[in-house]
Amino acid sequence: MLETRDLTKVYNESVLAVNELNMKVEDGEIYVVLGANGAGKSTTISMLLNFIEPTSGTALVDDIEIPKFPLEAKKHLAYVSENVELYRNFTARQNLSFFAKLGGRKKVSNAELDATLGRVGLPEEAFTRRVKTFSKGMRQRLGIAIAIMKNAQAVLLDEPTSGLDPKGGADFLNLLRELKEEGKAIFMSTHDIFRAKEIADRIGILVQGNLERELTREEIQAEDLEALYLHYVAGYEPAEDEE
Amino acid sequence: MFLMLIQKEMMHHILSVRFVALLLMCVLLIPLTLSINYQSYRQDLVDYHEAVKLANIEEKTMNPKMPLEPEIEVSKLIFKPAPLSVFAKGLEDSLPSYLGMTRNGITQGPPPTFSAPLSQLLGHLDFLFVVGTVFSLLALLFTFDAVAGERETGTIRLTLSNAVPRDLFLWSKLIGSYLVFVVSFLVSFLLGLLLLVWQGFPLGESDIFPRVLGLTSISLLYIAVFFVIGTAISTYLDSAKTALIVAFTVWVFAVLITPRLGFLAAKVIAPARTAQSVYMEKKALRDDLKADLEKQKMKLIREIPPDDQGRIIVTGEKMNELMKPVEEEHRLKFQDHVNRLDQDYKRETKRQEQAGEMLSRITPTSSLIYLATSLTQTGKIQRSNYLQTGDRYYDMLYTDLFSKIDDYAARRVYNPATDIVKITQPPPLETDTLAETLRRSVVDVLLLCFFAVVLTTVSFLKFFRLDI
Repeated sequence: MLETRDLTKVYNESVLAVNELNMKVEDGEIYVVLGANGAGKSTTISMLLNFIEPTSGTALVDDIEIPKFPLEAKKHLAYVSENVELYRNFTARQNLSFFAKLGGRKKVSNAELDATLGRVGLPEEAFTRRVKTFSKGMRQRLGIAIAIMKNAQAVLLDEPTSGLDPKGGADFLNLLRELKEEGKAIFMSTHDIFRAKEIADRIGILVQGNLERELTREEIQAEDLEALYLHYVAGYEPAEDEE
Repeated sequence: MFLMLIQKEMMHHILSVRFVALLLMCVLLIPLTLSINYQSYRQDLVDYHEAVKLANIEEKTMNPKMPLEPEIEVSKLIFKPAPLSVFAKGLEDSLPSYLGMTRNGITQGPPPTFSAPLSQLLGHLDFLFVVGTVFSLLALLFTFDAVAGERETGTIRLTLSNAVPRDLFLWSKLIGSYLVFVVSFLVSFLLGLLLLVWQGFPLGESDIFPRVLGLTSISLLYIAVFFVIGTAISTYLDSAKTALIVAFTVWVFAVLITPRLGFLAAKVIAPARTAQSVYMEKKALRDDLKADLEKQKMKLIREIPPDDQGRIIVTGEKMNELMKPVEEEHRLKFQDHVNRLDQDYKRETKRQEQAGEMLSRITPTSSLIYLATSLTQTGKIQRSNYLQTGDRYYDMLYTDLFSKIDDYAARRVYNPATDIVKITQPPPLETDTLAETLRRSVVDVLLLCFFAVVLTTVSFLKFFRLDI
């Protein structure tokens, strides 16, 4: 379970990036936060990973307070970034092995590494290829493989589908569904409304650091998400039908 | 986890192009420069033995009762090259090839670079240059992107999203890259030493081996300082490209400009006369006193009363008797002036040099150079010992010979059996023991440690507060 309590970040004592954010992601749930650039999505993820200190408030993973016990909290967190960048001179297998061990795995067999790489859809010939030859989609898959290997209870994804082709995007969503079925709490930030609608159990709309609206699965299906998003993000009102 | 991070860092470097560059530099430069400089040292040693033979000091004799022109060199203290100049040539090329002993004082023979070979324009390539200039740059190339590069690519976020303490992360970066660098450096240095031993270099001698070890240690410390400089730059910047530009600029200032700038500034802060102007002043003083002495001599002659027949008869004995107190007075006056001139000159140059030395120590490169040349006996200490030995030799010659020379004897009686004296032999050139060298170099060792500790602290403090 992932939770934020009045989580606030103010940069340079003047720029309010996140304002008293309260949200909860239960185990086996996919929570998608939608927002324009600068809405505070990445800042929230950075605070959840203790990359930056919150100005006030706190965040918890499996009831562990992240700002107070960051190292213990990180054992329960996996992270996939917008552009998964790995050690370019290492092969996919070497990267996965390194990050798996970093994530707390003592011993990882090649068979397990290969199985995970296969699970995320990487072709076998890519297992021993240097990552610098990988496309963005392949790197994203490897990023997911790293998160899977860590086997953390909460997974944070920072705009993971941006720049992926339709097939890559679809495969990615399938992997997320698998993680959800395994009972992981998944927190994903994106501006991809369509993929959010497809996968999210709940959606939060973040505008200038404020959580303006939270939608349940039923509301997501019932409402015009695009119009709602544009309404909150850009202040657009839906055009009335001409008679 | 720490070992794994170090391992990863080492692998990351070993698989990179910069490792190939480092290996090339190490394997080519270190053994090559050591070998070539050893050939050069052997030639210098042959030249030294030839010069000793030519000077033939052992066989030289003099008659103090004969007049002696003040500029004539009656003996020479010939400079012997240090075997460790193979590692750092230091001041050897600019030191006078010999110190000539004249009644006017000590003259200096031309330095080995007197003929101004074109190669001097390009500087000397030795182990010290390789470490001080080339390896410092390579150390920065190894570290400029340690943090900035990972921040730019985002790998730092992925790494630190795991339970990795920040201090372990940064230590692993420093240690991992340093180990790769140092192992390459030490292996090639060992190769270079083996090559030297094979060529006949006396590495096993009790005064040489510990100094080579000391040289290795301070080289490692100096490289560590540049590793920390690169890391500090990297923690302060987001972009690897910017970090590279800043690191290169820092290197230019730290290695190429500031050490030289220190001495330029010292010339303004503490001006000093040149050796030539002091020598000319002494010469003019001697000429003035000589002319004055001649005048007094004529005056004394005119004051001698004529005999019964109105003739003025001046015998040699009489003249000597009359002139002796005057000459003594002039000699003392001259000596007093010369001493004052020498003291002033030494004080001025010492003050200027000390100011330059202190100012140049603002960068670690100067400390490395001072330390390395002290250890290899080619630096300031050796120069000071050489010149002091020269002074000591001059004092010996003054007592044994110069003070006994009578310029104004009207009649000279020469007795080869009793008057001939053998020229005093030059004393051996003093050298410091390793303990003395280290004691004198403690400031530079502490400065290098200071740079390493302070910059490491700065890097860590910045990294702890860094928004990833």
